[in-house]
Amino acid sequence: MMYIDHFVAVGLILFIIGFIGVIVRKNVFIIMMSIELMLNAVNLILLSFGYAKGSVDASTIALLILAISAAEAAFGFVIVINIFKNRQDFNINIFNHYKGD
Amino acid sequence: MVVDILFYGFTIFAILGALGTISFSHPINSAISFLITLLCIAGFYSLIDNPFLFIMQITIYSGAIMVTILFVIMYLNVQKEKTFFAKKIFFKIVGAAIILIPFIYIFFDSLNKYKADKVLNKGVIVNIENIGKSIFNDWFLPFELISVLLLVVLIGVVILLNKKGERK
Repeated sequence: MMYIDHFVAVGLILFIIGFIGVIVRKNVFIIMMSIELMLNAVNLILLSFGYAKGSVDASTIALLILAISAAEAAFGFVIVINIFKNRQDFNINIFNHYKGD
Repeated sequence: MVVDILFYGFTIFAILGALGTISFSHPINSAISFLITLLCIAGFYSLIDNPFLFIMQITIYSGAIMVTILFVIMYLNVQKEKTFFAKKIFFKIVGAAIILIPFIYIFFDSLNKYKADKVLNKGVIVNIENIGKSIFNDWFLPFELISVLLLVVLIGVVILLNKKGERK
């Protein structure tokens, strides 16, 4: 028998791994993939609770989150491409260059 | 029984894929690990009786977003990373734990409200018809706002990639 707790626990573990990835790594691509991983984990948790409550709204919200994450991926990679054209580096520290004085 | 085996298999592969995503040094390997995690999450959606999100997860995430990620990685010819980890990694992990622990506590606290006898589905079928009704009755404004957002992203991407000075 499956319980909702198991799904939520998996989602929580995935979210924590994604958070650690955002903090620990330096590569821009892996940071963006970790952000996507966190979005996925949140989606999984939302749908698990939606299943427990028997609600359709959770699926609708998850669908909207999918659209937002697709937009975020497209825009984020364009920013990465532009920065790479200027500075030839993928280290996240290049953003320090844009910090004000 | 079959459901249990599927659940634990998906769990193991999802967590291994997530760990691989943040620990490989070449982004292509990370992307493939991430793909495994996405497919396992799609499997979770099928286990909780949600066929529409199952299809959407495979089409949008494993299809569109992963193709974007892999295309950009290969287009820019990303090499192995030299500076693997951030500096002062220990302090950052401690800081992450301090941020995350209250969330974890709230999570397991809220889980107590969903005891085992309450988790059974009340017979609501989540199919395309119901989701469509939900979108166009209750979530119409967010739906339209997201279409505007996608339009703005489309225009922004075209403008950012087509700067005037670089067109020659």
